[in-house]
Amino acid sequence: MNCKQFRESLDCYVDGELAAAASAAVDAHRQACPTCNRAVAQVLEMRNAVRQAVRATTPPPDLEARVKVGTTPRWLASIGVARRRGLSRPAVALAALVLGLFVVAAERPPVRVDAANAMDRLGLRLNDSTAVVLEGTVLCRDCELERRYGVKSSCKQIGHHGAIFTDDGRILNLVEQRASARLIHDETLFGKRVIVHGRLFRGARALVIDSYQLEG
Amino acid sequence: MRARTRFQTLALPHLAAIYRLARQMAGPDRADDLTQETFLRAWTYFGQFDPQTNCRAWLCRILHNTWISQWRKTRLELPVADIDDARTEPWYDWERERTDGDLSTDMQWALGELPEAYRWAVLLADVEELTYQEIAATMECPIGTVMSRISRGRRQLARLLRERRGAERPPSIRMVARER
Repeated sequence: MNCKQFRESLDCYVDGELAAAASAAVDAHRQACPTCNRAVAQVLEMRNAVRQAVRATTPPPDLEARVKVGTTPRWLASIGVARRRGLSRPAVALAALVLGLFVVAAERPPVRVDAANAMDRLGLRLNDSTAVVLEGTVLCRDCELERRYGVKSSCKQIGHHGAIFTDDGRILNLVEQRASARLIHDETLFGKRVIVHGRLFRGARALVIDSYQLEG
Repeated sequence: MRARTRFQTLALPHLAAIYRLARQMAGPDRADDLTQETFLRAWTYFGQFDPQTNCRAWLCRILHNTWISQWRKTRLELPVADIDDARTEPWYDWERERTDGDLSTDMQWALGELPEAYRWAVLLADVEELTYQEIAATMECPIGTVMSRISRGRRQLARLLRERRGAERPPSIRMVARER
């Protein structure tokens, strides 16, 4: 091995990425050539200096807690909150038990396919649209879901999507039509109060808009 | 519940490592957000993690992807192929003796000047001590590219440090084209 070949494999050698035979050849050259031997030391020093500089930084003390909250199911987190708010252990246990009973009660056997289809058809008939006039606030649906429930929205990439938020807490989607286009896509309307006339499809929580008036 | 416990024992101990990497790549102001987003994604895809493999390398890969999709685009940078390599000498000319005093501040600066592809490669190799194979998987590039990025990255670091500490002036070419 000559010095040029040595230089080409220097980084791989220092990082332990060379095969045994190649590594032995580098070792042999190092013994014979003091300049190349010093180069190894220089790379090692460089590596240590990078390591030292970067490892000197430590995460903020509360970051781990924040990451944990992000990876905790909401119901489990609420128990933690209840504990922190001073609820006693038996009270939390009782609440968990009641919740557990609800979950068990909700675990019904699955519905057969034909029965499910029949229920769907009945549901569709019951969900026939109704003419409505209702008042609410225009807000971006996905951003609101993110704010309230931590759902990850893609609004920054694909744009906002307006929906009607009624005062009783419902979120009604707007069916894309010419009459509704501005309410869905015009961000400047977000936060404004609006009265809409249209038809409500309850099952789909969707509004087909005939007309609307903005307030204020 | 069991998955959550496994996540907390396998992934969470790497929080400090992911944070310092995020800090080098996205800056101190946005490192928190990038770290949180990385762990949130890791948790979402934790079912796909193979416990036989290196969890830190897996997290680094998620960090890299998150950074590519959300953080990188706020900054314009020349692709590494366009950078004039003639300025990067083929040899390390850097010695510890010349660099007395606190090197960490200058090193932080030099890392910040390094093109992002080189910075990733150097950090993953030198700080996180991943194998070239793992770095190639993290950066989604061939192993030969990893080798050249590490080697060029280290040499450029040496040059940047030498210029800063020797001549006390910033290098004549800046790698970052401009801030948006």
